[in-house]
Parts: sequence; structure tokens; C-alpha cells
Amino acid sequence: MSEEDKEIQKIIDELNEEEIKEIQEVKTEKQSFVTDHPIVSLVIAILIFIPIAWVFSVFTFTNLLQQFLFSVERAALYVMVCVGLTLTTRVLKFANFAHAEFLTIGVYTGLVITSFTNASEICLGDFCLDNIFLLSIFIFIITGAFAVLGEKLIFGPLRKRNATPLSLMVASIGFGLVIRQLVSDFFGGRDQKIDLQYPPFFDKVGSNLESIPVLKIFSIWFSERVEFSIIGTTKVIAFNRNMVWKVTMMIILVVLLQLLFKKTTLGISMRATADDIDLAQISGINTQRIIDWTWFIAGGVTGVGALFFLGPQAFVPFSGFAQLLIIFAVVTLGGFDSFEGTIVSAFIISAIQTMTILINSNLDPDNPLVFWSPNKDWSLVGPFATIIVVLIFRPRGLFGLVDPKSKL
Amino acid sequence: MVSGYGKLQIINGVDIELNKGELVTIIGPNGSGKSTLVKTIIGLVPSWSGKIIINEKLDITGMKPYDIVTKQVPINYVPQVNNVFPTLTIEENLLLGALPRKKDPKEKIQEDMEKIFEIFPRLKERLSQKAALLSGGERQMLALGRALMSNPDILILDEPTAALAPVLADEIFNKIIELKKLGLSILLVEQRATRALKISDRGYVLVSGKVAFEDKAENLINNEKVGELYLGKR
Repeated sequence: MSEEDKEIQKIIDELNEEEIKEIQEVKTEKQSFVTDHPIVSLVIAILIFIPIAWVFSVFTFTNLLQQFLFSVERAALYVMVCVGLTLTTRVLKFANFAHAEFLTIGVYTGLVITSFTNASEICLGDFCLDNIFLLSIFIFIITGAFAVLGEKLIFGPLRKRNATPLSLMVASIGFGLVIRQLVSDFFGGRDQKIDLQYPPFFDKVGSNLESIPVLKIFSIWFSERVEFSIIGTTKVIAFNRNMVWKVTMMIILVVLLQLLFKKTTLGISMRATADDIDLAQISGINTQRIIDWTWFIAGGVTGVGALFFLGPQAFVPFSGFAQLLIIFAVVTLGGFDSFEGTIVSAFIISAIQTMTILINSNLDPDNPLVFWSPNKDWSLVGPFATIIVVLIFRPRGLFGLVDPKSKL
Repeated sequence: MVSGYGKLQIINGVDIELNKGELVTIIGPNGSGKSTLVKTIIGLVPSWSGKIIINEKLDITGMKPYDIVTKQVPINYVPQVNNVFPTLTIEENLLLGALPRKKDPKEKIQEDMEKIFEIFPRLKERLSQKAALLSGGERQMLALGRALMSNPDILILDEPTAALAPVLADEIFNKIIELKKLGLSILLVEQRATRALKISDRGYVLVSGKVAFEDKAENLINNEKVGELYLGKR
């Protein structure tokens, strides 16, 4: 081998090494942005909201507190219906548009259980089938099973045939459409509603707590009251049991998911499968089983979220689909595959939405600076404008784990 | 053995052998099919014909990697790149390595983890850190540790020293010698041919998906033709 050949070989080797280094550097980039702790993220999000809300349009303390509570309530609902999408996106690497149908299935499962059975008579002690706790468990199981069915019928076979993320996405749109139509045909387009029910002993606990001055504030979890007066004033704010339990349920779900991801073999395997499916298989992870569980948990959480999100309002078979846009907005801002990011962005989007509505309704229409009509619904414009700005500066979203090129 | 990706045949009839307790190195120029060969063994690339047999009787041809490592076949594999889970901590990476031994009690797995910390003390210091934050050398050590957690008899290493500084590469080679002393049979794929052959028992030279030379390691180092072509000697 001549000197020249040796030089060439050396250069080739060096190039190779550089290539590998680059690959590893990209891997290092896959770091979470600020924090690993959803609770910390939550606090940050709330801290961001308060000063902004103060500056814009909410001038009194009562009003601020009221809007803050509405905003947190909405954020909790967003978190519950969005983390499932984050989970499937992260593990399966495609955007599942049929996610909207998990909401529909969830809320209609609730409807079937509460109105077509003697739900209030099927009880486990004081917990009856129509109260939010048992109902949530049943909705979780059924919506989860439905999501696994989607995997078995559509996504699994497609993946086995090496479908691209794009074709999986289009298939999910089709799947969602079919389900939506089936639900719509079966239940009709009527407005439906699920009243959130609580176990009967709640009222007793609530009135007991109210009589103890220190614990009075906790009675809001138990007794049914619509208004609360702020200490020292005559002002009242809307604050009720449903709002509290929506947020509480969200926190319970987030904590359970966090425990699952950090402490159980199933959760760690899920994260491993999301990181690298080939390596997961070599490590002895049954990746198909993990994918099934991912669908089950994602579907289940979303179904429970839908009970609280859509249930108390009037809903129709298309209600789930109607929320798809805002769900994708939340997930995109969070980084599409970050659990923490989704939680933070749910709070940010909810706060911005609240503010957009407030600004819109508080502005004087005769003011020459107001170029939009205060009577139109601008509630989605604020959030989406924010998302565009954030994505310009940070294309992988707030907490995105993966560089955008390999994302979808 | 014959295999490849899609319609592209990369391995054109290769017959290699790894005896118990042996360290065998596969060398060859870029694109000669070294990585494809080991990926075929572990089941990541489908084998088109031929057989992969372990312990003289166990046929793992055509099995999926998950089946291979969980069905009590004592074999594990460390890929060239992407060989650790970047968003998992070091501890989680190691625990996942032990997944194939579902039957072993937790204490036994803890014990083995301690053994791995004896070989790679640096991992213990950074137990709860994410693997993505590790340096190249530490990452390779973690990858080796992860594979060792499954308690394998056979270890397949795909270029463990690629992209490492020479000092770190030496460290990895020393660790490989240590592992061999523990009684493992190791199949090593390497670019640093001379260095790898020096610690090996036997070697294969792969060219265009075929075995061009096969001999004892020292013979390969001294083989003029091999030296001229792949070891940068004249």
C-alpha cells in the first residue's frame, strides 16, 4: 500500500469517526429542556400566568382569582385529554388523529353506563357505578380497550408492513372518521349531558368539615356549593366541587403516570421503546406488548379526561373531533413527545385562551385601535398565534425531546 | 449465511465459528458487511439462508431479537451507535439489561449490578444521571454493562471503540480482556484492526460480504497480504 493510499484510508476512517460523533451529539441533544418534574412545571406555568393576567384586562383581585380558577380548570381538562396523545406520539412516532375519537368513546361510554343501566344501584359500598370514581375506572378500561383494538385492527398491521408515519397518520384520520360516524349513527346527533355524581357520604363529610374553621376550605371537595365568598369581602366567586375534582383528577392521573414511568418496569420499558425500539428488543423487551399497553393507557386517560371535559357540557358525537385542534395545539407547543411539556403548555394555552376571551370582551368597540370585532370568537386565535411565535424561536416546542427533523 | 436489506444482498455466504471462551475479531474495510453480519446473528436483519446455531443444538435462525434474548439463549449484543437509551438513567439502562432474566430474584440482579460496577466503577458514580449526558467512553461502558446484565455467555460487540479517543479505546480494549477472563465468548467487530487482533484468539477478514482470510490472530497480523490491505502495513 502506497503512502497515498494510506492517507486516503486515514481520511476515510476520520470521516467515519466524525459521522458517528455527529450521531451521538444529536442523541445528546435529546434532552428535556428545563425540568423533569411535572409538578415544578405546573408551578412555573401558574407563576407565568398571574402577572400576565394582571397586566391585561383583569383589574380586580376577585376578577383575577375567578379567571385564574377558570383557567386552571380548563388547563386540567387539557392535560387529561392531551397526555395520551403525547404518549402515543412518543412511543409510536406518528400523529394519531383518531385521538379525538378516544374522547368521543370515553364520554359516550360514560353516557351508556349512567343512563342505560341502573348505575346508581350497582355499588361497591358507598361508591356507585354512576359516581365519578367508579365511572372513571370503567371508562378507562373500555376506552383503553378500544385504543388497543385500533392497534390490532389498523396500526399494528400497517406498522408490520413498514408504513411511514405519514400513512399511519392518514389511516388514523380514516379510522377516526369511521368511529365518529358509527357513534353518530348509533346515538344520533342529540345533545347529551352527564352530571358528575359523587358518593352520598361526601355531603356529610363536607358539612362536618365546614363546622371546623381550620378545615373549612377542604369542604369544597365534598359539599356541593356553587359560590364562595372571599374572606373579608362580600364578593363571591364561582368555585365548585366539579372544578375542584377536575383539577384533583388531573393531579391524580399525572402522579400515577409519573409513578408508572419512573418506578415500574412497564413504564421504564415504555420509555426505552420510545427511545430506541431495536435496542429495546435486544434488551428483551416485548415491544409489541409495550405498544399495546401504551395504547391502553393513552386511550384510558383520554377517556377519563373526556368524561370531565365533555361530560358536564352538552356533547354530540362530533364534540371530540371539535377539540382535536386545541389538543394538537397543546401537544405541539409542549414539544409533541414530552410529558412535562404537555402539562406546561396546557396551562399556558389555557391562560392565553382566558386572556384572549377577556381582552376581547372588555374592549370598547368604538375604540379606533380595536380592529377586530369583540363579538366574534377569538379564543383560539391567541393560543395559535403564541404557538407560531414559540415555534419560530424553538422549532421543537418548549420541551421537545427529539430534534424536529426526526420527529414526524 | 446469506442476508441483506430488502433486495440488497450484503452477506454472500459467510461461515464463522466462535468457540467457548474465545475472543474472535471480524475486521474488514468499510461496507464489507461486518455490522450486517452481526445484526443477522442477533435477528435484526433477516437471514436469507443458512443457520445460526448456539451450543451445537439451539437454532436461532429467523428468530426476532426479543425471542432470542428472552428464550434463555445466553447471548447479547452491543450495537455500534445508539447502544444505550438516552432518556433513561444509568440505573434504568442497567435494569433493562437484566430483563431477559425474569426468573432471577431481585437480589441476584442487584449483586450482578455490583459486579458490573466493579468492572466499570465510573458508572456507579453517576447512577441517576441520564445516559445522554455520558461521554463517548462512558456510554460504551454503559452499553457493555447493559449487555452484561443479561448474564450472557456470548457477547457480540459492534465496533465498541468507534469514535473514541485512542486512550479511551485502550480502556475499552482492556475491559474486553477482563470480560474474556471472566469466561465470556466474545465476537468483536473492529475498525482498529491491529489493536483488536492483538487481544484476539482468532480473526476473520471480511471483504464484500465474504470471508477473505481466516486464521489465528497473530498469523493474520503477520500475513503480508492482510497487512497490506487492511492493517496499513507494507
